[in-house]
Amino acid sequence: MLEVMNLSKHFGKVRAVDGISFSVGAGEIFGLLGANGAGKTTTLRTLATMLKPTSGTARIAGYDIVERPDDVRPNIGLLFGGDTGLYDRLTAQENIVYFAELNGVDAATAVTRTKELARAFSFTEYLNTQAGKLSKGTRQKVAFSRSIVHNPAVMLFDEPTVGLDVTAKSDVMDFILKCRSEGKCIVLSDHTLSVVERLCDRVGIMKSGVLLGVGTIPELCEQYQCSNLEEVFFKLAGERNVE
Amino acid sequence: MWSKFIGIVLRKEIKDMLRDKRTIITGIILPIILYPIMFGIMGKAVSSMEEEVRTDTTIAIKAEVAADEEIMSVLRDEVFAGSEGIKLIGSDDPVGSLKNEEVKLYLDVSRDPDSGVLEMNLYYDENKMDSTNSQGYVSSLINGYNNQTLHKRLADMGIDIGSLYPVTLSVESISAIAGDRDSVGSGGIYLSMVLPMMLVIFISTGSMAAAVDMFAGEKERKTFEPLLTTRAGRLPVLLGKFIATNFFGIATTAMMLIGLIIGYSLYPQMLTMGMGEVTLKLPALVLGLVVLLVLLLTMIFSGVHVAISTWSRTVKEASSYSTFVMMAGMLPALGTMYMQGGDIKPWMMCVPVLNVIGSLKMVLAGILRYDMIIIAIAASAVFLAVVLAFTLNLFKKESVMFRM
Repeated sequence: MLEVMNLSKHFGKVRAVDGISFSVGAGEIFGLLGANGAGKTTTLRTLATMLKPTSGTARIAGYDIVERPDDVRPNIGLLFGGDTGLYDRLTAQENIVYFAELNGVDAATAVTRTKELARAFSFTEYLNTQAGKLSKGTRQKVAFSRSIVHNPAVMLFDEPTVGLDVTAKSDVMDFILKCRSEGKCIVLSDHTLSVVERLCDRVGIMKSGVLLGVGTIPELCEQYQCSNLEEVFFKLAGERNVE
Repeated sequence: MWSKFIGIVLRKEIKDMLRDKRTIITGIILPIILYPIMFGIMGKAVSSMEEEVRTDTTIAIKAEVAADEEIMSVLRDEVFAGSEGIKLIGSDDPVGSLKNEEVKLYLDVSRDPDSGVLEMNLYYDENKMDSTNSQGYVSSLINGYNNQTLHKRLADMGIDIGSLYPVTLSVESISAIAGDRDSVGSGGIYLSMVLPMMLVIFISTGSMAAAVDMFAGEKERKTFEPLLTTRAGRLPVLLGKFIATNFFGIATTAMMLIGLIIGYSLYPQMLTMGMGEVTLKLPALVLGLVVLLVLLLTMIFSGVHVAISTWSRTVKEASSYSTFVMMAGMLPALGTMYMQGGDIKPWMMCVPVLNVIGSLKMVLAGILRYDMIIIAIAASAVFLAVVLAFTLNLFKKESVMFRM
């Protein structure tokens, strides 16, 4: 479903991503773990075709991100945490339908799907409320709905739970697990170990643009002789600015 | 598929912007009410100034002159006869009275002992509008009295005043005899000085707020990232937003013109500041070409604002640079303000902004040069294409779109 092959992205002399490779299958959640500046967001932006790789490539749903970015885009759902990126003067429904239509979903189907997502995320009563008047948690739910309204095969989530309260965080994590059960391929970047431990089937630990270790959490613990993911992380990345 | 995506983006942007109170106020309400209010205030100010001059013009005269009943009688009963608003008061310090705004004018009067002619010096304060206006009014009364008396005296002597002039002179515009252009009226000349400038101001500002919000605002809100990873792709997004920006630019210009028409219908004399009527009638083709030219200029300004907003990181940054562009766009309007339609040179048609101003001035002067207007349209189209290509190039650059 998603295969990253020796992917690099440099900004001048800065090697933000430096020759990383990994693959993620359908119904799998892959977690990119790393401190700030490790290259997680750049990796996701490159996979989302926003940035062009300096070298290497990736295939998403069978399409090469360098050669066929236009075919890649309808197959991905993208969400950046923290700042939800909604249009404040549009209602929740208008925000979601707009992105559905831009992904080729017809207007009637977009509305139906938006209502389904609102029910699933429990924000039906806010569908006609302008996004600027919504709480942070509800905004994140709307942003989630927007990123998956066109039913993409691959989902790229960058710190999806950042800034959310406990309830909203739990809702988001439940939803990500639901997506996995529906066979979605999910790449998730986060530096909250508890989120990664709960959600991810496999984890890749990044530092300075390099992928230092990849595997399931038990595999990584065994490989690096650690008792938990936190120890593995400190051993590999040598960083302590994770939660 | 492209047109569908462009339509989706366009519809969303218009809906989004129309919900923004700032857009409604600055792009629609302000342009439509500006001229009626401006004309109304100016009309009231002008008529109240005229009224004040006629009804309340106090003139200081030296105390000893005021005591001279013979001089006062000439002034009251002959020079200012029938002018009820003029009050003559004696003063020991008439200059001080004028300085202290106790009077509007100081009239120094003395009698030539040999000829018996009254010699007058009229003093006014050039820094005060009411004193300046009163000076004009009183001067015209004195000159009128002089002319009237001169005519009467010559007539009493049996001399026809017409026979005293060696030549006579009548001044007419060429439109009266050439037949190749309509007379635009004296108001048309005034209008050709101010209308192009007003139009450029509104065209340059109309699309600014929309462009800043749709591009720099989108960056600031971080909505560009999900937007540019949709199936639509970059070009339809750019075109949809560009058309929406133009929509607001054109809407603002249209609202300004509607406001101008409303202002004109309420206060007709104010459109030309009382400098006469506009008698020009334009052929439909000329009108159409000028409208096309104005639309192209709107699109050029939109394109420039879009380019700036695309390049800028924040709304604040984009607003600052766009304001500079707006002011730079006004320079050709100010530089050519006192040019008449006949002064416009062909090379000016190749310079954006200047070509629209020049064409408008020519048309308002009744000079219908199709060749020059078409050159202006072609030059504007080329410039627009360059601006759009530049903006598209910016839009494709990840270092510009996702500055890190």
